Amino acid sequence: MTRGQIVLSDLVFGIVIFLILMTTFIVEWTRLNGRLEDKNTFDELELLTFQIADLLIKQPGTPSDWETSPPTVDVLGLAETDRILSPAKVLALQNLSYDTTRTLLNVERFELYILLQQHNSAIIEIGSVPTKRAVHIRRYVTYANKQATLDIALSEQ
Amino acid sequence: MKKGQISIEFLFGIGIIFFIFLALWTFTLVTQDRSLRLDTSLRIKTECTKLANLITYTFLTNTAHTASSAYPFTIVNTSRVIIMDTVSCSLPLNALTGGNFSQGTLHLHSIASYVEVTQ
Repeated sequence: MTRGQIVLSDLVFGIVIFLILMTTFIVEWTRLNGRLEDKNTFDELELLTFQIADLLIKQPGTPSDWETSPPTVDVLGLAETDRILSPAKVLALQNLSYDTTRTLLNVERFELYILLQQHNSAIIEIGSVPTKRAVHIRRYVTYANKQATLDIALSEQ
Repeated sequence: MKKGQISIEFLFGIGIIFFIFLALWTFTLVTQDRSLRLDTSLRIKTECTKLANLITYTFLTNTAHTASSAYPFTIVNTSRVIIMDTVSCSLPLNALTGGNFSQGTLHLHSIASYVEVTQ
């Protein structure tokens, strides 16, 4: 071989290694973008779950006596006062259909699950336990003068 | 091979490298554009989320607040959505006023369990 001459096999070998590295980088980059979009959806779920929990346990709803005439409800709320739930409102919520509840809470795009429990027995259960990735939060409340827990979960459809 | 002459293999190699770099350059441009758009939409989404939170907080606490928005936005109270540029975020309550708002200072008041947003 003459001095200073390029060997083609070295060049091909170099290009192959470079292409492998670039492909790995592109695949990883695309995967990261996908994860970022997933995280955005999850953040939205999280935010809505917290807002729904606050709405349900911290205010009586609009109108404040909506339980006497459930079709007139504008904003759902179960509280008599902050974190003290009204049994009449809880009963009225149970009588609303699952789709109506989702529509009122503006979460038609998601699956909603609400469970109010006292001493490990369910007082109301709306929807079914999410099977897909979900945001699940538990709030401690007072129901009929006793401590109870309100579980709220939102998941993708 | 004469002195100073380049072989066809060498030209072929240079051609391949040229095409690889052309493809990489195109990929970089597309990725850069996508990343910039994602970055902008994330910033707007954060702004939209802050506003949605503040509206809910105003409703829950029956208080008044002043905030500022870096982007113009629309509140569609029928579908309970805040549309900010290409991003939208939903609100779980429908007791609020709708309308178009420009960027700048906002006033939020809770009047009889109803959130009014003005500028």
